[in-house]
Amino acid sequence: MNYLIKHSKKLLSLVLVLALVTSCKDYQDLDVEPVDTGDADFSSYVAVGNSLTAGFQNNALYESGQEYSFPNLLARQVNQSENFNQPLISDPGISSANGRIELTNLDPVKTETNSSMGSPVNPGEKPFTNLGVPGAVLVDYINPNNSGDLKGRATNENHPAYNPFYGLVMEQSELGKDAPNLHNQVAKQQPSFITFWLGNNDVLGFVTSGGEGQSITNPNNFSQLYQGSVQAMASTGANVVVYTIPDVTSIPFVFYLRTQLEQKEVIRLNEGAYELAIPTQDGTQYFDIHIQTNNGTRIMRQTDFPLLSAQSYFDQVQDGEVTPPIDSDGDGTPESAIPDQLVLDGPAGGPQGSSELEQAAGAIQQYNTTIENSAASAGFAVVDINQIFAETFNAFQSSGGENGYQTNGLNLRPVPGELFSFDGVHPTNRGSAVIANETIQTINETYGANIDQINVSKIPEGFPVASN
Amino acid sequence: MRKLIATICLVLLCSGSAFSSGFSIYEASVRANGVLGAFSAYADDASSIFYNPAGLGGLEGINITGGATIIAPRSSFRNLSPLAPIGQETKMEKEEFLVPNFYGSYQITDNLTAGIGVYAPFGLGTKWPEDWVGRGSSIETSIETIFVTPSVGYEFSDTGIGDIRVGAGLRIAAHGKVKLSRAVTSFSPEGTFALDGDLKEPAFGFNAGVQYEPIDKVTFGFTYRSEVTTEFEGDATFDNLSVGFPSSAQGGAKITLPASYVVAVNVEPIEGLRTELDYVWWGWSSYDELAIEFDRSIPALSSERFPEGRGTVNERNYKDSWQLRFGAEYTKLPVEGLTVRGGIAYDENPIRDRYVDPTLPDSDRWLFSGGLSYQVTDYLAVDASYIFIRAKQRKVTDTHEGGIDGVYTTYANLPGFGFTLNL
Repeated sequence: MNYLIKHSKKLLSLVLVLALVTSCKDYQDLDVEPVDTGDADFSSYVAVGNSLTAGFQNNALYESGQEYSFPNLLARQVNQSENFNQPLISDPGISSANGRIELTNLDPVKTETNSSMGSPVNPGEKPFTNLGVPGAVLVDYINPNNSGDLKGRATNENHPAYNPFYGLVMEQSELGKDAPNLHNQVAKQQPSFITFWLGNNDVLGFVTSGGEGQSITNPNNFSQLYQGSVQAMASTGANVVVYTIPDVTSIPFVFYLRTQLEQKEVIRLNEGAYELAIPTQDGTQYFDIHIQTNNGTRIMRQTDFPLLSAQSYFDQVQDGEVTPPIDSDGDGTPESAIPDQLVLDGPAGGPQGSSELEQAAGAIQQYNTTIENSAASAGFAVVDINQIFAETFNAFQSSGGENGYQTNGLNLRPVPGELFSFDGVHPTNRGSAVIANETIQTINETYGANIDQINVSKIPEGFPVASN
Repeated sequence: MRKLIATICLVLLCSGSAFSSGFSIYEASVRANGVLGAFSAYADDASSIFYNPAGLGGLEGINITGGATIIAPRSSFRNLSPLAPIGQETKMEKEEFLVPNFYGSYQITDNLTAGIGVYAPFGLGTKWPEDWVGRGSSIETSIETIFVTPSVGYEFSDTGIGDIRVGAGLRIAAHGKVKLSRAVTSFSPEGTFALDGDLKEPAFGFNAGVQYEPIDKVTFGFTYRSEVTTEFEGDATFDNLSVGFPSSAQGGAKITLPASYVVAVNVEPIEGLRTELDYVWWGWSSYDELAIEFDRSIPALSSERFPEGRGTVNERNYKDSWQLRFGAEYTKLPVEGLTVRGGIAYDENPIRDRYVDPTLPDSDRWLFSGGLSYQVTDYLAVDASYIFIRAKQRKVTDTHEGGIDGVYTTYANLPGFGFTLNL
């Protein structure tokens, strides 16, 4: 009897001890497997670039989008989130245009711009490791003798090209110098790894304004500046990854509206020229569409692209608020024409290479040659975004608008709301994850690393919606 | 006293989700808790209505037993998803659940006893902070069920080959509630989708069992419980979701509660010491998806399965699972009327890695129990039990659409109190 009592007590004690031991051990620590970054050192990662690096989308820089900037995602994948900081702006952020583009309806998609502004969340954290400045151009990186007037554009609010983002991203101590530049902000942080993606805005400003705004940076200048930038980065001893510049026809800002208008049968292509559908009592009639160019008006052709910015123009034409860009009475003079800045005009029989489209495409081609060559000579890795976007665009075109970038069970078409945000230029959260993955692939190949790719389907779409 | 101190230590040291595997609850009686549910061969009180209705056969007079188990699950999550820094920890909010049970039986003839039981065989409750990294997967999930089971048991004594008891019952899902909410991260600012549903109508199943006692002190038991298909219906709400969602909708979901069977053997090797081993099988593969259908189109939820967004589906693809339960009871203590119990069990979880998500961060687990009953009067005994569950740390990557990659750790404390009346 006593034996059994002892026995049962022992048994009970054993059970409790077992419970204690097994339950309280090894719960506190999680052994995070170190990320195999190969020969690449991410202990001090700095990202340099423009809006694409900043996480800008839907025409604004805002926190809930910045969270998914490709450099921030990359930093997360190499377990450096703690050391990577960005100049966060509270939602709805700060816009480079009239405000953030927000959804007001899902099916069909309708948007409006929100002119409210957010404010800086963490200005005290400067210097930032994400030095992506929306609007930044290549010259900003070394800005020799303030030749790019970064100082004026960053600090003089009356400057025609004033850009508030420089002041939000860069330190005042740098902007106070006579010739401030981004490189000083990079070098100061003793980077071990740099992603460098500048050059888009050296042509994009020209494209988005239909050739009427900012001019294209001369490719020879570009080459000099790029080589200077590469040298500067090489002097830091960091591993560097650079990016090519995507061709303008692969971004929806250029190609999307025309496709949409065709699908909705607002316009149609007839023998190489575009016609506008005008509903009349006798049914729909078609008239040649006229566009304004530097050389007067002419008929819109297969090579001309009405830009995404012409959306509201076409809406107004359809609503009868704007005179249609046609010659309805057939007197040879159109009553109206699509304003020049809303169309990127393609070759129309002028001297070869003179059209806006050819000018832009030609510059980009030369830029990319410069990028490839400079990177190769400095031993930098290259993420060929131009190639990736071109392949995605080709898949889209050849499938009749069905296919896009395939990853993790997703089919991200190169259109607003999928790979691109509603501004038609900047990637969505998921688009950024695609860029991060392409970067990771390049890093893995170049540095013998084994960094996990991001499951893009897990990245929330996070489309901004208008509040009621 | 030593046990009490040890128990207090245990509670203080390890506060950490867990019921049984899947969302079954096997804690249907405080006495059975003491032996960790290794009770299907033994089943000698009215709670045999749950464990094995054959146990009613020969149960004398009026037997009433009731009680409650408090389930206090604790889970934490360490992030491995791209949505937050690696290793970032989130603790599940602390919640305690009271799971009641009540059984009564009445001996009609010498060999025939009828009874009725009220218990909660399925349930689940998880609640994560509203702003946590996995909010797009789940914020709050709860499932409640109450089953009512009228049963009969019959004893064939003097069969010549030993004592045989048989029993069966009608399992009626009489009450049920389902609640779930998650953040909709497709939009910024984010919104919340919630469903609050009740059991649409009672659902039915059955159980049946047999106990066979070929020789004295050895009993075999077998119990089968059928699947019960429940249908829930209620309000779906869409907070802060102005685009692509209606302000509200009616939603409904079918949940098939799995079948199970038990094979058990009970042996009394020493006078007063009864030991039992139960193998429990669960047909969780019946739970392949959680599909919620709506009474109207919700464009934001359109998918291949529901092109107009008249529903949303979450794949589950559970697999069948098993448990091994061992328990012992000792009655010959120097204190008159005192019975002590202990148990240990291993419980294999039914969820494949890919489908683990924060609605139910399940994992294989070990269970430990202790319990006692004290006969206060000839008629009344009080029962107490304590179960501690320790689930294996579970790391999941490459999770399905509704999941989030990370590491879950879970444990639970389950004290229980009850009474038993023999009249």
